[in-house]
Amino acid sequence: MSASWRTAEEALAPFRPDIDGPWDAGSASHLLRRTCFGGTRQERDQVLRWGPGAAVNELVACPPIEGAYASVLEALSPLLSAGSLELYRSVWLTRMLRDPRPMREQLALFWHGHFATSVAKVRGPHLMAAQVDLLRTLGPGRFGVLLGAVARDPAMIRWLDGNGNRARHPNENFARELLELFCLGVGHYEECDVRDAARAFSGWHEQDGRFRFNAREHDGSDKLVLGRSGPLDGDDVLAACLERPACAEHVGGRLFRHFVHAAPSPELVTLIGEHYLASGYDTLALLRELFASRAFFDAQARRSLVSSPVALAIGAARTLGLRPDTSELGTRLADLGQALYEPPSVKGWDGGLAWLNAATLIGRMNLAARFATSFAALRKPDPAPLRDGVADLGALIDLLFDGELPGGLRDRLASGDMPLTQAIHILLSLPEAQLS
Amino acid sequence: MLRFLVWLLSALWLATPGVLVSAPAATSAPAPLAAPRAAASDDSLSGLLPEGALACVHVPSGLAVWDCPAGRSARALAEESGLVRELAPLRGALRLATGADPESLLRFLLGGEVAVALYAGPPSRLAAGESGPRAVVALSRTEDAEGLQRTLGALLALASNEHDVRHLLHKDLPYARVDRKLFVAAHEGVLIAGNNDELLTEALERVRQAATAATVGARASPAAANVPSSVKEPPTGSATLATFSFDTALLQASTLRGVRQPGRKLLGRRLANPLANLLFGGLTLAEGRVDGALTSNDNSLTLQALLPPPPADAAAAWFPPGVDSMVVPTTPQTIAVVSARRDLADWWRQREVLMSEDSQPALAKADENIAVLFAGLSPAEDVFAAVAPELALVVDRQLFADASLVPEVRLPGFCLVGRLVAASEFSDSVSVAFQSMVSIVNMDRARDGRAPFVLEVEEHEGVPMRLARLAPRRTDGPAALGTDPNWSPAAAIVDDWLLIGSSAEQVRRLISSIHGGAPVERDGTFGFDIDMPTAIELARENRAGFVAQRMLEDGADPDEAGSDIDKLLQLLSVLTKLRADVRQIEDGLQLELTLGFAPPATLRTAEGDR
Repeated sequence: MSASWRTAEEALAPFRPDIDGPWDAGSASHLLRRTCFGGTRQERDQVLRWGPGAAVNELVACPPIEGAYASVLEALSPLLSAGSLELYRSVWLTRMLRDPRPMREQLALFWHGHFATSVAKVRGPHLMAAQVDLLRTLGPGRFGVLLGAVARDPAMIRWLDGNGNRARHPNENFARELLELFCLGVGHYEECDVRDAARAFSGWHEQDGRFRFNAREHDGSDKLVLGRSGPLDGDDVLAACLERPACAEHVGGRLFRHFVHAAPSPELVTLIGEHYLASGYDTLALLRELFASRAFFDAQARRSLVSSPVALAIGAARTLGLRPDTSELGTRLADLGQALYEPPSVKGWDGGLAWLNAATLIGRMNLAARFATSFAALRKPDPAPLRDGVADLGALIDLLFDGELPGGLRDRLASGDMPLTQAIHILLSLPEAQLS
Repeated sequence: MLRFLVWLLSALWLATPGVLVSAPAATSAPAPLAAPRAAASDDSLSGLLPEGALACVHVPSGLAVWDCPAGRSARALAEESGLVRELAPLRGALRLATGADPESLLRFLLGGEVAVALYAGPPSRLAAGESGPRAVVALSRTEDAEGLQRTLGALLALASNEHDVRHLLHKDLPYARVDRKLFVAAHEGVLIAGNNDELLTEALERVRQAATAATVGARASPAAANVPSSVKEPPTGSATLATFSFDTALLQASTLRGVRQPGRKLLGRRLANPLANLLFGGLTLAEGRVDGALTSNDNSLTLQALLPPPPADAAAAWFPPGVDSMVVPTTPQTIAVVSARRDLADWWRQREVLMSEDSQPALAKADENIAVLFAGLSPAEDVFAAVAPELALVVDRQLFADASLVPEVRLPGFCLVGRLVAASEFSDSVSVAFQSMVSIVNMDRARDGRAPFVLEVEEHEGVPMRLARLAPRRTDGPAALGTDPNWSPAAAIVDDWLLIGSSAEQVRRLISSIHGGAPVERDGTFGFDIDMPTAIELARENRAGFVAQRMLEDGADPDEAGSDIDKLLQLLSVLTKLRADVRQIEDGLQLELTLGFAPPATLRTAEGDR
């Protein structure tokens, strides 16, 4: 990523309206897309009034759940005991659609890809739902706390064969992914670290859907992991990971790639790591810094990420003020390559351009057609039901694309000659609409 | 076109606010439209329909349909659902255009004799055969030829605001075309509508000839869809609302384009789903005509139909010899009973013929699995042959006596009820199969980390019952258990009765029912009976789940979803029962379907109480 700034420090410095660029509707929409999947015109106008600093503080927050949204979750709770994967998917999508501060769900989705665990092997959908609850609750806090909870999470233990990790027969699956994927990245550990880390986690078992430390199967002998030695247990290994700058760079870098830009410079990643480490791995604090930065509001960051199917659908629905059938949406999104609770491998979804191929592009267009029909139906009897006050197609184009559409497309679509459903379908199928 | 026609008729019907709760015979309509009368049987409109119909419906009196309890209940439902309010603008437009109150207008147009016929469509350009859209012609007799011409003119003028209306001539008789989809004409007080030019003009010609003949004392040809002799006479106090006749070719896929996929599968000739095949296979196999009648009395609507007889080679499995009668135990919590006389062993032996090719691999696997469950017995020769041809499925509301194991989502209990040919010899086999099945289920549940079922034996009223009790672990919360507390499989043999159920409490109740002499005798080769109040009671117990489901599907808020569900349950409470019986008679199969209604007053009272 190369832009108008010269150093990594400048990239992470707070965005200064009018100096680094205009604080306009496009900037507000960009912030809404990345923090809230998308937002209505009213929400965009509110963000605009707040200004960048206050807007980031407001949106990059996970306040306690209360009021009408708490009532929604309370009413949905009977379904959570039904134990069906489809219902869990549907409820999660509903949370993404209706949480007034969806940063909580954005982060849960990010961590779901980071600590990728699949129901295909875990087999207990309720355990997967409990894991995502954990990601939702602890995700915005300190990474170390989250990491400790994930290491004890029953779904993760099943996923990476924790019950097979015994004193005499260590299983290295979790230890390897911990070092390679969850914390440090390739090149920052040795094979001997994996072996001894696996021994440290021996006896970290799951029984009846709960974490259980099985002392008889724990190897209490001396180990050497990442320079630490002694009769280490799992928590010691986690601490050893967390004190490594590489861990902060690895996780902080992933946060940057997911929320800001796919290709940060090595210097920038190093600096992000330093800040993350210095904050004690305070994820929300790091995210506030990233979202308020010049790098985030730079032209190169805007529309630079390919929206995941979930982000695409939830973003379009939130922007258009739709409440789609989330039971059906869950299945559609799985067809588009993002089955919630079922990432393809321990590496999670590849993301980026991998989201797009001939089949998924057609699927995205079909989804666009579905939303266009719903939007037209919502608008037909009376424009008033549109909660965001979008009065005409031109305003909607401005909201979706910050007024920037190639050629005379905007004028042709907004001329009123085309049926509303067709116009919305075209808008949501545009290449620009696939980008965040 | 059909959709437009249905819309127009529905709109007319629903746009009459004064009659939605009660339908007064007299009206204060401003327009001088004469009250209709029921048709005499020998000059039926059915005889004026063009020949060659695939299906034909004849309504002797539209008013009788309108005023029957079912019609009143349906109107009350429409009012409760808010449909009427949505049509207020149309009501105003109709009044303005015709000068008549919509209620009197509708009674005028459809209150008399009505006949509707469906025809095969002409071949489409892209495919051979009768692949084009089906054609419809409808006739309705009014009592005022001039009033009809005037009203039709006003309605066409109203339609021309949004539709392309063209005025045409057949010889010297005028008719109109709307949007190239709907053709309408009026002659001698008969309203004629259809979606095909040729059929409409043929009907128009027939109406003209009949009118001419009538003036010289001749009569029209006999009705094409009178009640067939094989359909029972309506009981005393019942009125025949309509008669119908159709060819089973109508159930071909081309006719069912608008029907959702599962419906089409169900109506296919060789049902792939084994249970559906066992129950309904014999009913959908035959080809020929179906004749029937719809009757009504104070609190029910009954449809009777004579289906063509099934082919002889299928009769043995689906229609075993013997008296078409059986007894089924029920309980106060029974929601539904499905009963069928089927020769299971013969049906299983003939599965390659009776079920589709697609399902054969699964059936072969099922044959193996059944043999394993029954410790090597042959499914057809040893297992199914041990069961007499009297089968029933009893569905009960569960009471969940154990307060510690009440699921959030309550499912009904299902119990398969059969009679054994030699109960003492088969008892051990049932025990072995039950144990094997629970063991297999437990192995699968263990892989999922779910609580196991524990096998137990208990005695209920002297009858040994084998049951599997869910054994939750100390750590299992509601999410871990899910809907599992709904299941407590049990099996018992009471005299020669075999009970295999999903709920031990239901099996206990059924044992008591058999001992108490409560079994209910049912006639017919197939039938079902649904007790709507008990079903609605179960639905009310699951209200929170339905509300949540609606929130997911419609994006509704909790209050909005709750209100919708309450309204739906309230609307359903107008139904008291749904019953179907199929009897084998000499000419074919006799179907009787009865829908019981609570009086509309019940609906309004309940609404007021709420």
